[in-house]
Amino acid sequence: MKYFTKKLAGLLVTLLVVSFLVFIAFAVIPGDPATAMLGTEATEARLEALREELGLNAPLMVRYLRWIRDILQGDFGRSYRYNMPVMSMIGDKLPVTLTLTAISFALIVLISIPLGVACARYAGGVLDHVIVVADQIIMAVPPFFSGILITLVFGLLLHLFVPGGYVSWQQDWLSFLGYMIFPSIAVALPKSAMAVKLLRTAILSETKLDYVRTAYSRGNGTKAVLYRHVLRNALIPVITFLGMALADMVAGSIIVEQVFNIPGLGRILLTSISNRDYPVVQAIIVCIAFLVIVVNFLVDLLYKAVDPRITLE
Amino acid sequence: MLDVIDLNLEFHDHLIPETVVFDFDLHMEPGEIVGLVGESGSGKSMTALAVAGLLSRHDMQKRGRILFEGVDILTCERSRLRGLQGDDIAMIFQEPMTSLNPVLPVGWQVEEALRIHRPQMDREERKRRALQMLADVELEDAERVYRSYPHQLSGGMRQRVMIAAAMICGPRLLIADEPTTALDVTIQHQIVQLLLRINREKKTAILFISHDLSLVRQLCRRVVVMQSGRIVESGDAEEIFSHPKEDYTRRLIAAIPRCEKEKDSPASQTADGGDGSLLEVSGIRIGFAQERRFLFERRRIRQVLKGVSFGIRQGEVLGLVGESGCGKSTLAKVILGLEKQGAGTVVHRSAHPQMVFQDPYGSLNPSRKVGWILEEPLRIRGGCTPQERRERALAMLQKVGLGPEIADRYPRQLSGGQRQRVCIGAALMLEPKLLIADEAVSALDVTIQDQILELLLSLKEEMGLSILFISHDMRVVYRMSDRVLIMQDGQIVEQGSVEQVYFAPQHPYTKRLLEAADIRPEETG
Amino acid sequence: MKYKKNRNFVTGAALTGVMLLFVLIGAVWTPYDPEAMDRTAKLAGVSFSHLMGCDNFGRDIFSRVLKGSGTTLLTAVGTVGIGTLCGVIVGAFTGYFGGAVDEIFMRINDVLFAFPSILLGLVVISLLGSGNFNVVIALGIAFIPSFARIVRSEFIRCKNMDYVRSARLAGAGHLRIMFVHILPNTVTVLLSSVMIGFNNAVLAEAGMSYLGIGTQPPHASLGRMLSDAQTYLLSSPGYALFPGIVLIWMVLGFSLLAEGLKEG
Repeated sequence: MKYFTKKLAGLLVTLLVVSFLVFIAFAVIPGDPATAMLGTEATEARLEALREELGLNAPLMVRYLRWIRDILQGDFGRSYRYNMPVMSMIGDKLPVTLTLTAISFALIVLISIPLGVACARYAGGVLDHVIVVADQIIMAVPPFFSGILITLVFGLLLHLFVPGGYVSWQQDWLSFLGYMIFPSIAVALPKSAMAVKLLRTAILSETKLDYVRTAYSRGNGTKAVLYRHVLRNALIPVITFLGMALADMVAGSIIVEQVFNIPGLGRILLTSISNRDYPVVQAIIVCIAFLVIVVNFLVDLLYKAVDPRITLE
Repeated sequence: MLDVIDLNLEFHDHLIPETVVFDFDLHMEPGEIVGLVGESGSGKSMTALAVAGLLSRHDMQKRGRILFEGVDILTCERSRLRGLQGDDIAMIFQEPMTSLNPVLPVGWQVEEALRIHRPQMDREERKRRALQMLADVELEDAERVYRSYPHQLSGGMRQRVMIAAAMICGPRLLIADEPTTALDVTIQHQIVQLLLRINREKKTAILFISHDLSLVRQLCRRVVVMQSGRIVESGDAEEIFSHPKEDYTRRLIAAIPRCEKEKDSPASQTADGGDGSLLEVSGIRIGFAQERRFLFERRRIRQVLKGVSFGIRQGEVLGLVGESGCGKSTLAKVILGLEKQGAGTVVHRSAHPQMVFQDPYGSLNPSRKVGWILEEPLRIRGGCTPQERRERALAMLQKVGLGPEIADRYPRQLSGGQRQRVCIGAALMLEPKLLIADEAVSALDVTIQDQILELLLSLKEEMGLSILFISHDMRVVYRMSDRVLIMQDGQIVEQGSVEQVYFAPQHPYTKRLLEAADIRPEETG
Repeated sequence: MKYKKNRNFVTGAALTGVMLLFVLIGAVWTPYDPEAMDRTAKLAGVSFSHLMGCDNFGRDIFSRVLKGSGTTLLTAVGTVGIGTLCGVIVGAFTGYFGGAVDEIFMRINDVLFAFPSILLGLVVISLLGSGNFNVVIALGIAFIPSFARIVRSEFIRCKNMDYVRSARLAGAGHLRIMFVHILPNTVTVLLSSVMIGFNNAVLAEAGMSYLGIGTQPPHASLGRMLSDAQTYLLSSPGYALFPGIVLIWMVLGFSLLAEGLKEG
């Protein structure tokens, strides 16, 4: 319980720090938003009026607190470019990216645990060698390139899906999922390869430890030692890895969306960056950071459940 | 009950096969305790693992027979072997922390053998037996221990848990591989007593493997002495102790520091006639903040040193004895100025006190050559040309009994004893007047230990050193010291000349330490 | 040398060696001008005159791959350079001294760590504007936390070792202990994380130029070529495959080196 409260406090502090950094970055560096919205020809009077309206003349701390208050009410400000609420622009894009990341995450877990265990069990065998080599190569393939290969092989040659034929989930959620599975594989592949390798190494190094010898001395067979004793210990580094991989997977999803022509956060982020539409960029960054931080918090809790030794620092 | 006949073990993981055990024979009767003694690398642990059926490495060749009640453990089917393991043959190991699974509750692990060998037993019965077993190994509050995880218990408690888990099916043979080496002396003593009681009450035969001769003597009737894979001598324990036949056994026994009343130490005279004190320590108090239990709780302070005062005279060796956690290492740090907080005064009458640490593996920078390490203090102080530095480093190597070729080696290429010599050399480069040795020989084999002690004593004479000799080992301290401090829980509970403290102890804690170290009256007389 | 028997290290060194040779050749000579368009050779297939075929503007893909991998590698060197240098300094001081400064740094580090490096790069780019130099700065900054973290934990591991205490007793100052005594002991770990850094930097650079941020047309870059090639995937798969394979080659070399260093 004490662990939980302390971690929760840490979570809140981290969120505050992140939001403050993001706010400062976007409030200080890019220049005057009023000019950005009205263009350089606007008169000084109109600019001043807009600054007043946007609350830009208030001190920085006040603006930060207002910004936080607005976010808590679901208001991320207005786009400079389209002059519409940011929330309405990203509201339906967010679930798409989240789905992509979630399916990828599930795939990683489903692929890596059985394969990692199999590798470790038959370490030194043919299957193990094949997987280890394949693993090393797959790790080196960037998600967008594996996306291109998947499009070529499964889309264009085998016709398992129509490249670019994205169906939104409001239309037909089954076809939506059917389409999303391919980009998910692209995102999941390199991370699964790493997880397999990590789990294999972890199991093999755990197997050398003293408690395994103790387990054998009580009359356990190889299988019982692996599943009852070793696996749980070996999963600890894998959990850490999955927590850290999440941030990369969100980034991977944003890129892979471009390969498969999926209208998620990725496209809107890119257009906003090239248009210098800062409120939109800021909102997306905050959303992703919050998501990553919250998931890491959950991973910490899971960690505690698996490893009783975890205390605070 | 157990017959080991012509056991040979051979490794094949290098190009040349390496035999680690040669022609080993052993016969054990039910209910007997046999000690298997040897220094590291003698093959005693390999033999023990083979008897327990735990050597399953493919790159190892096993010849001979290990008959447990007629079943050959080396050749029988795996299922047959598994039926014996944990049920008839149980084993406990040196490191109770790493030998217990860190992520599973203690109760689960104690019950495990029951789950495997008595599958028909129901959950309540298992738990009842486990709790009874935990109480039986003298653990207080068995219910709480049952629910705990290994990291929540102390070292002694963990070893008791290991014993409980091993004994739960009532095995006929318990193999104990250095079960007390990682523990404090008084705890060590308790575990030995527990093993003796188990043997007496349950008639369990015990094969006790240890490097510690005096411990084996307390526990075993019969002893087998091993050296580099071969049996050197075996027979009745008292007989071997009083009349060792083989040279190696004699050397092993001689290496145990004996506590004889007539100490022929010339140092004790110079100490008395010495010209005053080299170091005065008074009223040292230090505490460390503990972790908060609640979010807003005030941090509690755990007092590690509770007002320690003493002095060291010129040319004397002052022994400091205490168990782990008593604050002796913290005290060393305070004296050296490595620990700056806390109250009290430390007055040095000499510059540069130096230190020799316990672990010769951690106290030499692994990425530097020995020569560099020896020259480093001179380099920091400055005022020496590179040639002078080199010459002085080589001279120091010779002083600590090492050849000049060692200067170009990395620490990892040296043996434990050689490393400790280098450590001593590095500490003496600046010619200090005071040397602090913190458990400096504890990690070494007895014969090596003996050589290092000899080296320290001769260097002391040669260079006019004073030594603060910190150790948990009563015998080693006796051999080294002129005066002794006994430390318990951050306080010095007794001090005086070695003769006083060892032969007329006042404090009950001192008496307990002496008893645990098995310092017997006949030795003193 | 102890690395001789290390299969990962040898393979990685061989792959990286060939790659470096490839890049060096590209720096001084390419069969065609990588930016010259040839209307007659649009989407030409593999032939002796065009080893990897031509793109949709009739530019020689082989020449563009030669130049593009050079850009990618150079970006990676810059990125890892910034990341390592700053990371070692931050990690060494926070790890060695600990205390409140360490606490604050680690908090910020945790926060930055939660951001994927590409995303952090994107933010910096959106604030500074795109361009190769800005990509290096952006990714370099994004890489500092991971290096700082590794160096910090190494320093924490080493600072309580007895050899550090001996050095202090011999009178060594803090800076001497940090950089003469401790730093050499972190080299193995640092070297392998530098290789992992190269691996990640190449991936991040390729990802960013795939997204159209970073190297701007008409300059060649592997990521950009992949994104352009997607339209012609079925008709001329070589357009996407060759740059992709070179990219994998590069990443594989670095990751195997990292692996080998860890084992050695």
